[in-house]
Amino acid sequence: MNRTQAQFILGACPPGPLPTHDPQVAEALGLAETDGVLASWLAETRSFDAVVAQKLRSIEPPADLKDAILAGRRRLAPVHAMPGPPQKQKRGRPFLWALAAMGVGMLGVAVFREADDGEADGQVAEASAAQDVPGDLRKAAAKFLSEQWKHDFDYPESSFPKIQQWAAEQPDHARIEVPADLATSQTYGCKVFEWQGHRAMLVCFIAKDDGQVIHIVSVDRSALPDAERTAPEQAPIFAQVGPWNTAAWSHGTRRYVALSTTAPETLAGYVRPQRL
Amino acid sequence: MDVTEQDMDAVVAEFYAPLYRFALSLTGSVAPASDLTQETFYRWLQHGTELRDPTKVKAWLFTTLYREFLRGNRRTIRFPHHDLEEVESELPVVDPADVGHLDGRLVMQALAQVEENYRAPLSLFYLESFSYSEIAEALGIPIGTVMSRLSRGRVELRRHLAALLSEEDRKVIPFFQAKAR
Repeated sequence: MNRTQAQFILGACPPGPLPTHDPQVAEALGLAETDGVLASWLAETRSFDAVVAQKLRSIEPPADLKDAILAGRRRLAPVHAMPGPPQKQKRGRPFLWALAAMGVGMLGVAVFREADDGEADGQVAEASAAQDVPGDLRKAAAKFLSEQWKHDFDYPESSFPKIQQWAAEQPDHARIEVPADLATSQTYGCKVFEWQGHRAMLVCFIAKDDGQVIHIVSVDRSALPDAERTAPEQAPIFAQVGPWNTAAWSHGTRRYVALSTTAPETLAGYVRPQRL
Repeated sequence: MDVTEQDMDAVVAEFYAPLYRFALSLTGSVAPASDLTQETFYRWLQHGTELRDPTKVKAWLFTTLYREFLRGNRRTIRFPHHDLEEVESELPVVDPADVGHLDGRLVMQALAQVEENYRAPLSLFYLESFSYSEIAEALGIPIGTVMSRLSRGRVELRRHLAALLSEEDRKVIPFFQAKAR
C-alpha cells in the first residue's frame, strides 16, 4: 500500500472513531506511523471532517416539519388508522393546482345544497327527493359509511388498476370505472358489501390535493329501481347528506356515488363529467 | 412488519431531522427539502409493511429519499474521471478552525454547491457517518465509486468553503457588530 492508496482508504472513513478492525484501515494507519506526510494529512483531514460534520448536523429542521409529517400521515394512513368519516381532518400542505381545481369545481359548488333543505330546482330537487326514496343509493352509502364502515377492506391496495382487476375477478365481474383524476389517485382499498340483495363495492381514494378520502360506492344498475336502471347516463348530481358531500352519476352498467368530507369544489373537480 | 401509529411516531421522531438535513443537502433549500422528507415518510407508510427487517428502516428511508430526489431531477449528469493524484494536488487549503467559525447553514450552502453525484455520498458521510459500504448500499453504487466520489466531493467542498471563507473575509462588518465579535 502506498501513500495515495492509504489516503483513499482513510479518506473514506466517516467522522468518528476509525474502524481499526478493518484490515485495510489498519494497514493504512500503520503506514501513517512511518510516513509523516500521510500522518499530517490524516490529522488535518479528520479534523476538517469532524468540524464539517458537526456544523452540518447543527442545522435544525423547520419547527413544524415533524407535526406536518405526523398530521400528513392521515393522507396515506394504514387501514386501521384511516380517518373516520364524521370528523373534518386537518388539511395537508396546500398545493397550487388545488386552486386551479377550485375554479373548475365552482360549477359543482353551484349545485351543492343541503339535501334536505327543501330546494326544488333541477338537480338538487332530485337529490332532495331521493332522500325519501327507499333504496336510494346515495343515502344508503352515507349511512353505511357513517354507521357501519369499519375500514375492514376485503382488498387493501394502493393501486386502482389492481382494484379494478380484483373487482373484475369477483363473482359479479364488476367493471368499475371512475373519472381520470380519481383513477390515477392512490387508494386505501376495496370492500364488497350487500345492499338490497345486490353486491355493492366501496373503493376509498386519497385526494391528491388535500389527502382527504373520497369514497366511491358502486352497484350494478340492475339493483336500482326501474326508472334509474333504464335512465341514460348522467352527469354527477351533487348533494350534501349529513356530514358528507356527495355526487351521484351513472356510467355504463353501473351507478356510482362519491362521498367525502373534502370541500365540495374539490369533490366536484374529481368527478366532473368531462373526466368520466 | 406491521406499521402502527406508534411505529410511525417513533420512526418520524428518530429520522425526520437527519432525513431533512440530507434532503436539504440535495435540494439546497428548505421547502423542497421539507417536501422530500414528508414524501419519504409517506412512502414508508405505504411500503413499510414490505420491510421485514426493522433494522433496515434507516437505510430504506435514506435510499427512498434519494430515489425520490432523483425522480424529481431526472437528468443525466456526466462528470469527469479524475486520478487520485490529480484530486489530492487540487486540494484547497482550508483551515478546519476557520470552518468552525462558520454558521452551519453556510457549510450546508457549500455542500449544496458540490456536484450532485458527489454530494449525495458526501452528505451521508458527514451527516450520518455512513460507512462507504452503507453509502454504496443506500445509493446503489459500487463501493469503489463511493470512495472516489467521497474523495472528489471533499475536494469540491473544500473549494466551495474556501470561496465562502474568502467572501466572509471581504465582508464589510458594521463597526458595532465587529466590536461585539
